[in-house]
Amino acid sequence: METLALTSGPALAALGAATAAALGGAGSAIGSGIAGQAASGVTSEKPELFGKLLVLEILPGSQGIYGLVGAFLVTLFFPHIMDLTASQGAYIFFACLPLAITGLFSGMFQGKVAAAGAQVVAKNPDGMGKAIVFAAIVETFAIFGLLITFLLLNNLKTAIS
Amino acid sequence: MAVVEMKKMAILVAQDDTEKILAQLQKHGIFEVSKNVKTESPSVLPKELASTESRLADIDFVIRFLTPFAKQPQSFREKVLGEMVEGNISEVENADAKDFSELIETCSLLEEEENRIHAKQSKLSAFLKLLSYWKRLDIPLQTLRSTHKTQIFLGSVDTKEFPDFSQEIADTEYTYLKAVSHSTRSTFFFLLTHESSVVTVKQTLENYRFTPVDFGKALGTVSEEIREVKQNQESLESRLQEIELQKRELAKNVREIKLAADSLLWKRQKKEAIEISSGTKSTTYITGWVSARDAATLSQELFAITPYVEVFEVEAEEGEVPPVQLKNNAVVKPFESVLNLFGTPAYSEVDPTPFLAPFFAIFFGFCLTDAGYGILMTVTLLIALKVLPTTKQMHQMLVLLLFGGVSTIIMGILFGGYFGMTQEQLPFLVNEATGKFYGQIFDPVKDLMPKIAALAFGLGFLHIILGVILGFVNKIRNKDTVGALLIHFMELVLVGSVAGIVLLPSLSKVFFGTLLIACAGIIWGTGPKDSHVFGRIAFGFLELFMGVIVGWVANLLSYSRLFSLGLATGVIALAFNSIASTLGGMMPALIGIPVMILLILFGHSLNIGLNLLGAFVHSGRLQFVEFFGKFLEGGGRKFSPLSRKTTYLYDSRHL
Repeated sequence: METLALTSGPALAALGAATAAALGGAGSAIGSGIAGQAASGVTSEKPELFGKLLVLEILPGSQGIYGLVGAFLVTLFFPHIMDLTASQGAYIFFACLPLAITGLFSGMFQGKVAAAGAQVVAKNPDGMGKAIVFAAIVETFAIFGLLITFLLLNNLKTAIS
Repeated sequence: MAVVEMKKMAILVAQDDTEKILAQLQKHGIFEVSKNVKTESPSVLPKELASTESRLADIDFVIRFLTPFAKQPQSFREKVLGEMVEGNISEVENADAKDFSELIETCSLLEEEENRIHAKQSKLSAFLKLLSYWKRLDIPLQTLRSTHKTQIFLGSVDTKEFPDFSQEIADTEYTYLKAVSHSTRSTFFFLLTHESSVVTVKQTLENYRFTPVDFGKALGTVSEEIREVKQNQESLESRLQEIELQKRELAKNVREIKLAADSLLWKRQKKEAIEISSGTKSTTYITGWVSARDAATLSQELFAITPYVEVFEVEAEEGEVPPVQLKNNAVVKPFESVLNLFGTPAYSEVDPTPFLAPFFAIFFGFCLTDAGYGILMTVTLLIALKVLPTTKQMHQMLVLLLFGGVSTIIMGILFGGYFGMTQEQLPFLVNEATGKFYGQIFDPVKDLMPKIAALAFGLGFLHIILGVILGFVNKIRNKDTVGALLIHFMELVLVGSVAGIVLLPSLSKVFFGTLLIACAGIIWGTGPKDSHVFGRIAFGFLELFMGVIVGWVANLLSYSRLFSLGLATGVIALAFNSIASTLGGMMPALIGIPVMILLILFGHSLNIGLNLLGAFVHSGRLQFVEFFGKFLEGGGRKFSPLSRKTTYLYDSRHL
């Protein structure tokens, strides 16, 4: 059996899937972490707001999920991953980058917006809707990343089959 | 199934009957008192309110003071109730009539005494510690006085510096230094000096930062003093025990006092209502909001209490908005908990609860997709609903989760999820003909693209379309017909045209036409009305691309969370099963099987816990961001009528 070099097709494809899942997850972890700290602070004074604050904390969790979707796409679109050539593997790696990078950064910044949202809710629980909208806007860009990654991967899939 | 129509009513009542009328309104919980701005309130009332508040504060103090000494909850039910006590709501009615002033007095005296004793105790133990360093000093303290020709110093210096210090003292004439004891920090000593050396000695003491010891009024030997301090401590301790016994005895009244606290809460609510109303010497004029249905019978109901009352409808003040009360049937009602996490819709908006209900339930199941977990959830929740004493909100939440549980069973069957087990492990559930579980339509991994993804995005599509339609309805209700047509209706046309171009290419020219019309409508409709024509078009373009087109793509893709969470649940369950069986298989059966069971229990509990939370919040998020974003402004004020809310009494019939 051929040895699996770092620059071989399968290794690069796996690197792509892994990067998408890992950076998306990292973005969400950082984001929910920031939002969670703010939410805990508010909860210490206003425990009745727990439900609303929990919603704000999970908003930056989407990027992790999108990262997972990206990794699923790679494994599902290319079931015969061992047969990929080096250039196909590299293509997959690059195709995963938009999702990975937007996931990381939008997760981080969505967390900051959600943390600010927690302050809004602390002062005025009726501001919940607005706080959600502000935070959701940041997420849009992770979705674009996912979209581009999907289109790029889909192109390769149709080309191969 | 909607936001209830509200009417503002005024009640004019004889002053003497005011309390009775308010009590009746409170009993029914249908009337929200609003502040009357026009006339000044009768000035006697704030005093009454203040006295009720101070009584409530006293009673609260007694409850806090005695509760730790009351009978601790025994049964599971009592433990769940916590500081609440079970009883009948009617018990609260006159619970504050009894005079508690003696009890309050006793409790506050006891608290003062306790505080004094605690202060003394800490003083004594500090003194005891100090004495312990001087144990070796076996002469009575009263004899240690400086004389005509000599002076005595008792105290300490830093242990590290003591050798140098003693050297320096030894070098001074007519001195005698004796170390009594030392701790790691300080060395305690006795120093005697002749008057001729006092100045030098004092200088040395100062150089070494001497700390003199203060024995206070102690006269005997140190060991005598220690004995006395210990005796004192014992007598304080026994007094504390007496106080505790007394508290235990008093704590038998806690239930009664808690009911009185609730009764006072009701009273305070009534007094507050009077305070924000207005009146004359002999009448009170109360205004407030009632649902249109209750408004019709309000006058009749109050007449039954007293003949000296008049009820009539009044105009709302300028800028005053009616409070929002939602009315939903028993099936939809629990889903109000989801809406409550977001906020309250405005009075003029549609109540989104019945629309979000089916989607929330389906999404919840989609995020878990495991029939085993669903059954476990359903059974647990049914038991909890039967056994647990719950407040209204808790009850709603449990019923909501119950719907989620049922939905999880259905989705689990469709996706063939049973505690993450494979077909080989559950042969009796497998349909031989298809090679799948009975009722299974999707294979969670193989069918992810395109079938399951299509299901998720399809549900999302319907969800958002419903949101746009509700946006249309809201605009119409707010009498913005042009906005409704140009924005929401055109958005539907736009989406329909795109779907038409994709699905019916032969008619694409027609659909391109409608698409252009829709775009033009949205551009004109969303652009700011007061700006210049070009500005309006420019802003409209921006809104069309960023808001509508980009919004649709982003919103739809967001529904990918449904199958991601669902798949994650299944994969984690599968992983725990295989970890458990691999590890269990490696050990002899006697240890292996218990280890396997423990791992499986741990793994699945963790998986259920995490994913249940995930399913709940993500199903909620799809409502708040993607669905509500299309139509709901929120910011309504929740209806909060005079009501018989209780802090301490739990009456299962009064929910």
